[in-house]
Amino acid sequence: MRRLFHAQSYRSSLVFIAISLSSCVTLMAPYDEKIDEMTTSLQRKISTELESLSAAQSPDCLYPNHASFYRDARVDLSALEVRAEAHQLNDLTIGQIRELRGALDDLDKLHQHASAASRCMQANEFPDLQRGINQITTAIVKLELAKKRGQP
Amino acid sequence: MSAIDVNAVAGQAANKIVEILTDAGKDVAGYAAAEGKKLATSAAEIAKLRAEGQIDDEEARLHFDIQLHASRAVLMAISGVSIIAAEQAINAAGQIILGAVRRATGLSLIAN
Repeated sequence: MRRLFHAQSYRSSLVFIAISLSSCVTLMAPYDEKIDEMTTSLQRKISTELESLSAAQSPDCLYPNHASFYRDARVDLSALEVRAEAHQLNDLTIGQIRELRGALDDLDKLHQHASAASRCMQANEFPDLQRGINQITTAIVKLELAKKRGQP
Repeated sequence: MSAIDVNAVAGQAANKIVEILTDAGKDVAGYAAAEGKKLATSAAEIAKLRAEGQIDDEEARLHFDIQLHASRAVLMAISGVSIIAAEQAINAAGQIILGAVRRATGLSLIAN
């Protein structure tokens, strides 16, 4: 009798679990092609700026001649952040975009710091800057692609 | 209505969870190792630039800060990929359990 009760109890538990799982569990926002594209486009924009800056001579390299780049990049970042915030369960992507904003702010300060001394940034500084920015944008895209969850 | 073999179904569900999390773990470990190496390389380069006097303290601090932003973004990607793997594991295990219930009871509990 007790064994029969246990068997029925097990089966009831399984049916309960099955009902609980009858719709898919979602722990993360869906893939957003726009976030993927906007991040890649922003990475290209920053990369192009770093390439140009690393080859520029004074006074072309000085901050006032590049202020429009920082303005444009911040506008792009805001658009990216708004897009990410439109999804629920997207805190990690939003956090990554804020890290990219922080890195851009640091780049801005580095550029202003060098220009205040009327000099260009050192050529040797650029590989690490490029690597750091690429790591952040790659991380954003990596997470976005993972959200495809095996879909093409 | 036929009986559900609880042990067999639970075993299949657990195996599926382990399979998915193991695959995701390999992916995440490879990514973490590659990115960790890049971050260490950058930190060493910045320290060298400062030691050679090519950049000052403030510039070194800003360079390190960029690398910290990169580290955090990479860790967030790893965390996110792991969460997605957990989601896939839960859903795959759920499909196994639902299949067993459907076969045993004839009830279709799958909602789209």
